[in-house]
Amino acid sequence: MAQAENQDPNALCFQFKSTRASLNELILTASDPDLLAPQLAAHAAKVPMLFSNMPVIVNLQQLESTPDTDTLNQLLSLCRKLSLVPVGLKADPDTSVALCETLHLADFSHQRRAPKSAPAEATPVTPEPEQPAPAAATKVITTPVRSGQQVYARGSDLIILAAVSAGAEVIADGNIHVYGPLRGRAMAGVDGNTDARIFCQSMEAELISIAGYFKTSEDLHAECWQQPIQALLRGSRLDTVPL
Amino acid sequence: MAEIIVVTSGKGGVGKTTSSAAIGTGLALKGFKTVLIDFDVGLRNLDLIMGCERRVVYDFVNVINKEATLNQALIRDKRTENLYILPASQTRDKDALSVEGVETVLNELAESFDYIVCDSPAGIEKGAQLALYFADTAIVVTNPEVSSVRDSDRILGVLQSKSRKAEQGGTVKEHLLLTRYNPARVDAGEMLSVEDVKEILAIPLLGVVPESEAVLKASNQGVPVILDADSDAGKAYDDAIARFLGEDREHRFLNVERKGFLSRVFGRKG
Repeated sequence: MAQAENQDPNALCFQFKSTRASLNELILTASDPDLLAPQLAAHAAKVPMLFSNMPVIVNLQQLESTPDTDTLNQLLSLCRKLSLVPVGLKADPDTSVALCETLHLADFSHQRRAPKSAPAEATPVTPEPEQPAPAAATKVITTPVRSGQQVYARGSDLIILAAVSAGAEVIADGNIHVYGPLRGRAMAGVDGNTDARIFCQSMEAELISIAGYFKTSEDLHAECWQQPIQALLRGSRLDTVPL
Repeated sequence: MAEIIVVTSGKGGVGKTTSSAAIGTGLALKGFKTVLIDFDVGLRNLDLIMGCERRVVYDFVNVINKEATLNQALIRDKRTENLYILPASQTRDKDALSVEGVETVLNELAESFDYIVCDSPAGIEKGAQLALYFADTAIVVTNPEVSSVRDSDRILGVLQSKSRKAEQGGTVKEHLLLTRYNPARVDAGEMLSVEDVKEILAIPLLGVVPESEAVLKASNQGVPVILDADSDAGKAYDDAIARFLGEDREHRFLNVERKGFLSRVFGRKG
């Protein structure tokens, strides 16, 4: 048996595996903690579900200059207070390595950038040969989502095999599929994914939204009421297409 | 072990107490030892509908606070054998109820009763949540009207998330009881039909009780309407109980009954 060496007491007790997790970026356009604190807190109050221990990469690349370590520490503790979990930084690639070392954060600054410096220093771990990343587990709901209930599929798709009642909310970072009538609110791609779509057997929603672009039942009445449709973004327009 | 049934709706004034009285009486008539508990502390109504308001000495809150024993507080129904009523307190509010207190009382009742019928207060707050917390089965009373249906939907959500059964990973059995149904108004498009309500709530239909003068009369006389066996509402509740106990009975009162004399005359002319 090829896998029998797992039983060997001398076998390695760990494994590196490539994985893909959905991460959000907190892009700062000002670095003054006093300015940021009330705005971020207000946003957290609006969408508390997004903030509950959400891992984020703090992006400093839009700032005119990289703030000093003290300010950065203040910013990070502000994030933690609002139950965000900063896991990494995106900063000026020239200084980010030292910065991340002091702050004990992962350095994401070199991603997407042309490999100006050799990427060897950024990756101490030899990555395994690229495997197809396992998709985040899709959330599947089999019972009706009743008025007043909220379902959120973080970092994944959401499949609902029953009705979504008026006054209920179904939210996903990915796509939303509803196989019963959709009478409540459906919000797909809430982390900003503009490729997310909403599929449903009978469109009777109060509101649908993709990445923040929304349509209310008034528009839906005129377009596709009680029809099987998919909703997708075309530019900044939310379109409904018959299935 | 007793089965705990909660009669609930979310919305007020849809017929919870009338239905509780009818269901409790119906179960007792079938020979099951049944107790009706009024959870609407502060707005005591069940005793009026049951016609036992003059015999209330101790109430549910007294029993929870150990100021009276259960036997002192339970009122034996004079008309129906096997039926007991545990009235609510009129002077206290819902804060007088506690999970532990309610559990103790229900456990004691469960030793000697077959069915415990809890008449829930309206709303989705503490009183209503306590009434449904220990339920095995829920009878959701709904009027064929959008706001009532929406509120029933909400309470169904609460049932499947905040009840003890749900917390333990189980489900509370759900039944829909549609009350104040008026087929003529449904035909006129002024009222939701049975099918509409079933479509929205998606739970099994236990019965449809027609809008009936018998209900108001029964309430004012303090006689559960199910005892008015000649009335349409009485028959509808009787059917519902039979279905609840597993009998297969066809739904009645869904369509407009034969036309009255006047409309027949005018109908011919037109």
